[in-house]
Formats: sequence, C-alpha cells, structure tokens
Amino acid sequence: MSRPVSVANDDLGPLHLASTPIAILAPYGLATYVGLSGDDPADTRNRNVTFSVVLSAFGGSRLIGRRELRTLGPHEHVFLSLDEELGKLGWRERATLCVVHRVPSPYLAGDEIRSGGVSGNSDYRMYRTVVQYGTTHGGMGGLVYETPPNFNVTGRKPHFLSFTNKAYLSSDVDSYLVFLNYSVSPDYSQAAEVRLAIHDAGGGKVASKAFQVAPYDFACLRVGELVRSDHDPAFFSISAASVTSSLIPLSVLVNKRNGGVSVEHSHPPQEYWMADWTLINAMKVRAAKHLFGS
Amino acid sequence: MLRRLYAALPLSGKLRERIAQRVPLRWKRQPQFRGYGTINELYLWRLDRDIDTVVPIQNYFSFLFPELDTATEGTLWIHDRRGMEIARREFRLAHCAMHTVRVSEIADRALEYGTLMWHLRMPDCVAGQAAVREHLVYFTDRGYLCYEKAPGQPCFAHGVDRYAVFQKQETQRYDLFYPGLNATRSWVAEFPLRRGMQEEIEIVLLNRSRSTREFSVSVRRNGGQEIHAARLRVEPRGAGLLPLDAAVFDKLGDGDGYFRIDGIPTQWGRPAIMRHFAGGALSAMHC
Repeated sequence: MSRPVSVANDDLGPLHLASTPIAILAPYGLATYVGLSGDDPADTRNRNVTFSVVLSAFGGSRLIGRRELRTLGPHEHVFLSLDEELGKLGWRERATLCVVHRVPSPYLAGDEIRSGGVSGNSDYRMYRTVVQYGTTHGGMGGLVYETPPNFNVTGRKPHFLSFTNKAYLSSDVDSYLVFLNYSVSPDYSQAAEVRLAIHDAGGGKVASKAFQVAPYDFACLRVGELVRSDHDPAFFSISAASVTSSLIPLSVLVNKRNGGVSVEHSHPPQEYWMADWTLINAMKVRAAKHLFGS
Repeated sequence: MLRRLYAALPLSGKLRERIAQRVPLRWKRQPQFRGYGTINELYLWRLDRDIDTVVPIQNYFSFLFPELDTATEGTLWIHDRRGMEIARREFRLAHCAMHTVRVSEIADRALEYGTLMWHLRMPDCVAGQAAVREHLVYFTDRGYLCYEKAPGQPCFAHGVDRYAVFQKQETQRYDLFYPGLNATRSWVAEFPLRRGMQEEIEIVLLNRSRSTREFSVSVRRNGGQEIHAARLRVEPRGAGLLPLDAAVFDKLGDGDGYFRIDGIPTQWGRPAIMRHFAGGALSAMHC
C-alpha cells in the first residue's frame, strides 16, 4: 500500500538526491515503467542505505500528489509499472509527468521528508533510474538518466541547447521528440519557449518549429509531421534551444510492425567540452542564444 | 609520480585550494590534455542476428559554434572484435551536415561484430577561437549509433566512455584517453533483470585500455545470491558480447535480479545491453 508523504518546509533537497522526471506516454500508446536499484552503481558508496521510493505526480503543471510506493534495500532491483501505480492512486487520467525519487532512509522520519538541507557526505551522483516504454506487441526500450543537479532551480537563468542525429524517418516507424520541463524548485512556473531546427544530410535546414513546454509537463513532437523524405529510412539532424528553461530531451522510436521501441536521451552540451565550467557555460549560452535567435 | 606524492602530502583543503589557484592550468592536467584537441569514443558495431549498424556522424562543431562555417573532414575506422583495423574511410562534412555510413557496406558480415571510431578534424575557425588558442579546451564528440534490425526497426545508443585524444587539428594519430591504468572498477547495473520481459539480453563490453582485459559478469537474485557467472576476455580496442538467455532467466524464478561487472579498466567503461524480444524487436541501452 502506498502512503502519503509530506515535505517539511518545502525542502525538496532530499527528494532530489536520486530522482528522475518521467513523461507518461500512454497517450502515444506506450506503457511506462521504471527500473530502480538499491545499490550504488559504482559499488563504493552508501552500502547499507535503504531507500523510500516516492512518486510525485504532476498534471496541468501542478503537483497532484506525492506517495511513498515501497522501500528498496541494498541488492534489490525492481521494475514498477507507472501506469498501474497511477491507476491505484486514481491519478491515471490526470498525471502527465511523474518523478520517481529514491529518498535515503536517514532523510525520512515517519511520513515526513526531513528538512535542514542535505548533509555534505550525501553522495548519490549517478544514481539513475531506468525509464522504459513498452508496446502491446511486447517490445520495450529503456534508458537511464537522472534529474540534473540544480535543474531549473529558482534564481538562476537556465538555457537549453541540444543537438542529435536520432531522427529516423520511415514508413514503419513513429519517431517522436520528447522535451521534459521540470524543476527542483517547488515554486517553478516557467513555460519553456523552444525553437527547433531540422537539417538534412547536406546541412540544409529543412524544417523549423517554435513551441512551448508547460512547467512540470512535457511536449512530444512527431518528426513525421515536421519533415518529409523521399528516402526510407532517412536520418536527420535536430537542434533545439531555449533561453528560458533547461529541458531533458528524449528520442522515442516505435516500430509499427513488431512493436520495437528505442528510447535514448541526448547529451547536454557541456558533455562536448572538456574545460572549466565558466568557459563551458559562456560558450553554451552563446550557442543557445544564436540558435534561439535572440 | 609527482601527482601521487602531492596527493600524499598532509596539506589542508584550504592550502591545496590556494596552491591550485597559483598552478598553471596545463600543469594540473595530465600530459595528454595539456594542449587543445578533440576526444573521441569507441563504439560497438554488429552485423550478426539480422542487424545492421548505421553510423550517422553529425558535425557537432556546427551546433557549438552556429555562427561559424564549421565545414570539416573526418575519418572512420572499423576494427574487428579483436581491435584490429579492417577498414578506414575518409569523408567531408559541411556545416550542420551529417555523414551516414552503413557498416554492412564496408565490413564482412562473417566478422559479426567489432568496434568503430570516427574523428572530425577541428575546423580552422574553431581552432582560431581564443579559448582554444589558449589551450583551455578539448572537444568531445559524443555520438549515437543506430542498430537497425531488419526490416526497419532502429534503436539508438550513445557511447559510454572516451577512447582517443587527437591533439590540435591532427587527423590520424591519437593518444589514448586513459594511457596508464592500474586499478579496475565494478559496475552494478541499475537495470533489473526479470524473466519474461525479453527473450535474451546481451551484455556489451569494450576494452578502451592498451592491454587485454578479463571482465567478470555475475548475475544475482535480489538479495545478492549469485545464479550465473562468466568471464569475458577482450583485446585492446576490441569488443565482447555475453548472452543471458532463457536458461539464465529461469534461474531467477519469479523475482527480479540484476548483474554486476568487475574488471572494468576505464572510469566510465560500463556495460551496455542489447535486448531481443519474441516478436523480433531489438532495443539497446547503456547501463
């Protein structure tokens, strides 16, 4: 049985030590699962920590509710169906974005997540969640990612720059681009303004689109509605930028015949620079502004 | 040697911080990162099991420097599973362009699988940037590969760890990203193993070090009991695939489980998995 949890003093720090925002893709015919581990993937930290698995569900850019689903101990790895969990809670029709948190047991007192800041020895970097989408044919595709540190935190000026080659256009395949707009701050209310461009193999821009992603929600674009090709399959380059928000970009491909699913995230631009952070940030902001057109 | 000596000195954190502020950046870096250049990853290709590998090489410089004309040239190397080069292709790439290669058009399907790498020469306009001229930047090409199960079912996965460092605008010669490696690492994959969720999983392991390595794979029930163990010997620049089939999943019973890898030579050289489904579908992901 799940139980409600409250957050003392709106301090979401413990909730984001190990968490992942997840788009619920049931409207696109995909079942949504999460895979969770009670172990440090590097097997060097937090050896005896038990976690509370907490689900935050959002709909209409608002928090619908927050529940502890179960506990997770060391050497325990589980898959959960998010659609089923939302169904049990009566939130299935309303929830569009969920966040699955693993809250280390020292941060939970009864039904309350303790405030007072995250202690300096709490190292849960690289605690990522498996996010998996499945079709009725039985095909499934997954990936691992986490909430980036200080993601869209209040008081900073976030930017977004993304580019990828994962736009695969084919008559057999539905190709989607998914952008998640989440924040680690409870008072976040920024709708993300995004500009996207599609380039063909020669580098020419063949399509562009401006769109908005509501806070605590996601946008899902169908690549086949943005661009056409005489080749099957065809690969395209995609770039996207925002100067209002940071986003998590995913590519989801579904084969209509055998139900195969591919899902993969795109690296943030800082992955492409090995340099001091101030330099990386300056170059990232400059490129994002240029691509955004501001 | 000097680094280890410095690390062993009983200095306070504040003093170390003050020293760090006075030491030139190039001295703080390992020798292969003291100039400027580009870093590339090593990827798995495979042509077995009715799979083709498509390599869509994106001119990533164009999106980091959209205001410049970043046209450049590149090289793709294909190696067999033992890390021996079997083919090399050179190509040109316009600003914002993408060069797409089907490995089946280059490599013999009988080789089944191996590794590949590509490198884009740093465009002159990028090499002329102040931060580059001042030796403050190495660019890292973090690409994605498409594994395409016939007919027309793609799955994409990105590389997981760095392999080669090309100094300045070098096009062919490279240093290893990890030149000296002593310790090995472990990785407890987050991915839960569950019987019936897929027919088979293959664990993918690449060796980005300069010596042959032996990886240990341990499959465990929740709670930690080992139900299957295997070893995989992988040559430098080579690849290994280890299948977990129905017999392994049967040992899991009705509960979930997981796997861990020991003997990983490089910092982020963690495993990837490829999953085969009853209806013919394929998916890939890194752990």
